[in-house]
Amino acid sequence: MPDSEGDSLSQLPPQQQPDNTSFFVGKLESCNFKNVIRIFKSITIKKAACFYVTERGLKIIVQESGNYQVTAYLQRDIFEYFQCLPPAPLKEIGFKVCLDILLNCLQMFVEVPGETTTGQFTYKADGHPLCVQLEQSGFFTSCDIKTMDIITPAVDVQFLEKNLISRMICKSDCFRDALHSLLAFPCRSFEVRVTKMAPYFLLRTVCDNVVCEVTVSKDSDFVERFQCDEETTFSYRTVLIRAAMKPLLISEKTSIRIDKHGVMALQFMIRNTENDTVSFVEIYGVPEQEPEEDD
Amino acid sequence: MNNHNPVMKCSIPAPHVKTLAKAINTLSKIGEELHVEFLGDELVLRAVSAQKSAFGCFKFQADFFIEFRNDYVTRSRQFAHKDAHNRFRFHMKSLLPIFKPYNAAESQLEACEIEVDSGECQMHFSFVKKCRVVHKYTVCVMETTLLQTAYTRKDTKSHVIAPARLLHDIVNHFQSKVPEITLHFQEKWFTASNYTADVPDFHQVSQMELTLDMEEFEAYEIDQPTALTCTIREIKGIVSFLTTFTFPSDVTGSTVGLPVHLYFTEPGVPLLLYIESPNQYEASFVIATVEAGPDAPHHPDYQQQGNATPRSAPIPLPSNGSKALSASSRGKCQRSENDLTSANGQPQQTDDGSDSGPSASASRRADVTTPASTSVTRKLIGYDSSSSLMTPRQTQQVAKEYLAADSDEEGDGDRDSDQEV
Repeated sequence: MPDSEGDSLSQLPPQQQPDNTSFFVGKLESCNFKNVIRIFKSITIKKAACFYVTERGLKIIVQESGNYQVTAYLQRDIFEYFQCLPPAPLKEIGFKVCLDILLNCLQMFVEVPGETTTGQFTYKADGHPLCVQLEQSGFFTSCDIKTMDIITPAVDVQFLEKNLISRMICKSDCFRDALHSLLAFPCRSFEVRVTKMAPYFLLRTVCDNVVCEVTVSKDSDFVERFQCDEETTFSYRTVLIRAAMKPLLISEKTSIRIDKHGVMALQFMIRNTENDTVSFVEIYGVPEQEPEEDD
Repeated sequence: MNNHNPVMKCSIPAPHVKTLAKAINTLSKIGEELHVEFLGDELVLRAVSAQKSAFGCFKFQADFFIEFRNDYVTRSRQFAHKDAHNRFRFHMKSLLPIFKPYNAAESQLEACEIEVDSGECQMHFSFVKKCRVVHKYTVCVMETTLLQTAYTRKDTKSHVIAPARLLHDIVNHFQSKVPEITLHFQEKWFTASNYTADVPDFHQVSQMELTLDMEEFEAYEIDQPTALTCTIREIKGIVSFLTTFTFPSDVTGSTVGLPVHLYFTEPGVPLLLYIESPNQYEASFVIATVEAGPDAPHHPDYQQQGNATPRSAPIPLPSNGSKALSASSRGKCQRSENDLTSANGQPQQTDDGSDSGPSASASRRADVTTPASTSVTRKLIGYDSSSSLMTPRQTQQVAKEYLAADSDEEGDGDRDSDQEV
């Protein structure tokens, strides 16, 4: 154990005092707290999630190896109080937490209507549990969630602007409808085609005897920005769509970027309507090796 | 080989797409495959059940579409009916997911275009949405032959018009697990009951009956009192098709209050249901009914038509009632209270008065009134499993004879009637 400290639970009722030695402390106000739960829910695809704390905020990564990586960014601004004190040489703090359990703890009071809940995350040091303290109308609850060390860090996706070959920013409704249509028939992969001429943006699936194509013109009112430097066609696994569906449902805008290696970055802008702050969830997907290989 | 393949294309305005989606959904409850035909200036959808015990047909007419193009008509009208190139067959499971989102009103939709590429054996369904978004499905088609029934409305003797709401109430009165119902058309009243004669474990079965006065129907012309037993599934499908337009309290739909015409003659001969929305579409369904055996004990009222005495003679038992049946389970084919009277004071049900099986104590009565101020009687009574009526399998055989017959068709002019199997 890194250092000896008093029993955290016994300190609780007076107030959730941020202590100056903890690696990470993040305190959330009621409306941001609800939004954070919404975001956590949308990325709960796998059990374990890697939490990275930097000066700029909190980053949560869920990874399905070989397929996609989901990242949620909770920037520093949405926290009422934010403290990041990584041990000397490091610039970030990383730990792994079971997202299901964390979500269960956070949602303990949320369902009560008309009540406001505030929450605070505290991670004292390596090997310590993540302490989640909730307060609602003077009632305090503290949950300690066991953390794990990150042994194999999440893949650092190098998505460089200079490699970018196509980009589209559209309203999420439009993209959601498109993905719903693609999912109507079960199939393994889907194709994304971005062209300089019509149809501009095309999503396509082929299953047994049905071909589904969704086209979005660059002139559509749904499309905010369209850029195509090079005509691209890449195939991705359908699991990527399924993972993208949840954050997509709560998002306002979607950005689709593809680089020259075929790595697709879907970024969802999630607006908290109560205080007009925005957070982002990003999904990186790698293309299928050779879509037509089997044939 | 021909660069100018004939084009069959139609465009459906957004408010009508829901109707088309519901029609396909209704037909999916009948058969596994959908048969589509571009016939003159009509789009015809048909389905037949696997056992050929039910057949459904929707005909969408010119006013239903924004645009309708059928090159087969302009080229050779006289051969249009003979040619198989305007007929296609699909698996329901490849069409249902396409139309599923449009079963409910879809605000973004502008139109649905259906186009056939006869050269490539593909049919394209394009859903054109607002703001230049298109969802397009390409489905491979299979060839098919003409599918039609040999039984038409002209062949029937009785005609009843039921408001959609009434049919909805009747059908939904029965539990979802009830497979078949019997419709008793009496001279003055109508009774619907679940058909329990084939149920193996009769201890767990309750019989329900719903009695309505003939005034509830818009028209009630019956040749002779008839008891028709048919599967409820198809009727439910038709009712759900109608009710989506009628009930959700919107008065905008053109099909509000669309009545259902029922045509029939006698047990064993198909029941025809017919709906028409003028100039837009018409739907007809042919449903097989169980053939009444010579000793069918089925319903006392049917046996004693016009009998005004509350107590009547015992119901004749099936002639084969002696086969390995205990005395307690035998002879309680229909048991009920004799004090049940309908609105017009006539008896609804008679007591067989025979030996007292255990079911007598189980008999009870609950009067339920539907929103349509209908007098409804629900009973729990025992029954005899030794009835000699047909099993559903037999029903299907009877139906097969009607559906597979190669005779004149359903009022579509001079068409060949090759039946596809």
